[in-house]
Amino acid sequence: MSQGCLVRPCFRASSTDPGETKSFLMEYLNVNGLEHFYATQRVLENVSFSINEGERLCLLGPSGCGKTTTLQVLAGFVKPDRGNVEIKGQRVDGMPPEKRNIGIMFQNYALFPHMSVFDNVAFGLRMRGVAKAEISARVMEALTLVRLPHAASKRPSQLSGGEQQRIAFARAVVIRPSLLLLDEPFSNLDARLRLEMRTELLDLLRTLSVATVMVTHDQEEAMAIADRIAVMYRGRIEQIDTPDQIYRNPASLFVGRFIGESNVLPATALPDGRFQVDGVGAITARDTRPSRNATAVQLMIRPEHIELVDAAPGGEEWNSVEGVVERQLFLGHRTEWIVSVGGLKLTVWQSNAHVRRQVGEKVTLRWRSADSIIVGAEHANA
Amino acid sequence: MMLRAYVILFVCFLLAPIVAISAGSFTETSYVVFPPQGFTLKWYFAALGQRPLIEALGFSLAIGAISASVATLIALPLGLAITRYRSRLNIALYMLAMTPAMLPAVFLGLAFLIGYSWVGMGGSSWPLVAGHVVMTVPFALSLILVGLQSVDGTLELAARSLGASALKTFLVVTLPLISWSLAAGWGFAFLISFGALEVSLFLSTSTTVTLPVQIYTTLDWSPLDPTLTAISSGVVIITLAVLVITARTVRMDRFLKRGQR
Repeated sequence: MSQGCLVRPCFRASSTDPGETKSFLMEYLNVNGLEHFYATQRVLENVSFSINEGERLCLLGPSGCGKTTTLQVLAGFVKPDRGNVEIKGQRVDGMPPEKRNIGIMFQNYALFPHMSVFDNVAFGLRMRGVAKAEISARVMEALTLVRLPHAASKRPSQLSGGEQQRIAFARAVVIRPSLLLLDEPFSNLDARLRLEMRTELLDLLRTLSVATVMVTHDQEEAMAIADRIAVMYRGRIEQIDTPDQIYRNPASLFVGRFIGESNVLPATALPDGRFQVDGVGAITARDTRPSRNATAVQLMIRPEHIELVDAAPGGEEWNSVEGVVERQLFLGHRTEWIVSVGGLKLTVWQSNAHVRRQVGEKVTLRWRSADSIIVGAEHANA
Repeated sequence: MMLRAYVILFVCFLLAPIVAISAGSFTETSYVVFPPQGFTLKWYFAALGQRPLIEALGFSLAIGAISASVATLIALPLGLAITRYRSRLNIALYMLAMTPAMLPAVFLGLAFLIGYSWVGMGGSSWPLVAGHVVMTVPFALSLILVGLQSVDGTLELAARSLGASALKTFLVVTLPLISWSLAAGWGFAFLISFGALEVSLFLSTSTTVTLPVQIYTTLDWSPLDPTLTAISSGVVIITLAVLVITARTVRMDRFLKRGQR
């Protein structure tokens, strides 16, 4: 179990044992053993996680990984074939969506086009039979929160994409939801606005401190917004941890490849604890695998952890190999090299590099042992 | 350029008979001749004086309004079932509802006549209404489907998540968003019923005569009677009025834009 779990309880979907789940019953949101099939295809496989009050969890994964289905189960739009959902210790999986008190910001915002902005935001309060005076006070409060109080009488179609998103947010939180769901919140915005809204949304979420589950396929968004990330793949949670831990200690090859860039080299475990990479040599590495039975493993190194140096460094903590520069790309904030090492190609990034190499030049690469990670074969935690 | 000329010719071809009838109703001769001679409104007054024609007009309007309303009420739940539930039955349901629009109207009329004779509804105007409902449902349905398909399903999910029950969601979100297609569906159903001749011929009795039937039978006795051209151009005006009103509520661009949202 990684360090993040000391700060905040967490567990891997695959390693759930009854004793472990028990201790999380007091958590704010509990999702236990979700299974779901579309026809004969399994879209969710033992999806379990829990989050604390005010915590932001991000479901991250490629399309078809089950993250959207998980969100729909939480919202009550999809009834899972197995498993349950508890909010504050109360089972909600049998409830219709309208009884769950969950605020949702939809990917396309889903603002009611035939209603004014005010009526859109007031909708949830009216359905709850809140008194008129209180409705208008709370709606204006929510609109002020998203800095759009002047837009109350406008129609959604008169607003820009960013403004529509803020209204969608106001509408979702004005009901004081027990849980907030964000579905791909930035996918409908252009690149510049996306960055702006990301900061703004994060500020709003921090202000409100509402338990949030967000779905995205964009790892940067996930890292920026989430306290913890659940990386999903083929209907399962591959890893659930803080963004930092997910990046540094990927639990599987999939996670390592999906989050950030990495060089993945096939390797064999040696009796002395090192790992043999064909054509490169014996490498010292950090082994994060839960079980170390297999000898055929994958060795993962992030491009930014590899340095181009003139001479091999000394010291136990360094790995160093010789290679030939195949390609050099100057990308402004960083330079990328493709270096051929014994038939393998390694990608190397260096920020603010003043060094220039010639294609065909012999170079030495070095990286810390701790930065080469053993992740095991595909589906390490299957 | 060729295309434009073709389109203009085509439109003339379509409109010529209508224009001829309407123009003929203003000429002084007691049958339609070319070139038209004189200008008068006397045929309109004559038409107003013909009680059978006026009664038939009123009857047609009433039948049209009732049939269109019933057809719309039937087509709405059908449309909801077809768009909101994914089931193989949907195709069967859709085909069944659309069949009357595909069948030759004469067969349909004959079928209704035989069917209703068995049931024994002869004499009243209900067979006529029932027949018109069956005949107009496809038209109401196809327009309502356009409306339902243009409503983003996530709007309904949003309403549910905000605390609205399924029924409430339908009433405050779905219905307002498709009201234009209900109006359009009603309008088209009305026009179809209003202009129907074949089915009405089979189902009308001496007391239930629609305007097209009345015109048709009058033609037997006095071909090219200018009062008929007068009442026909009156029909054209009613049709145009319904079309314009529907087109305004519908905003034709929504049909062209369907699926883009």
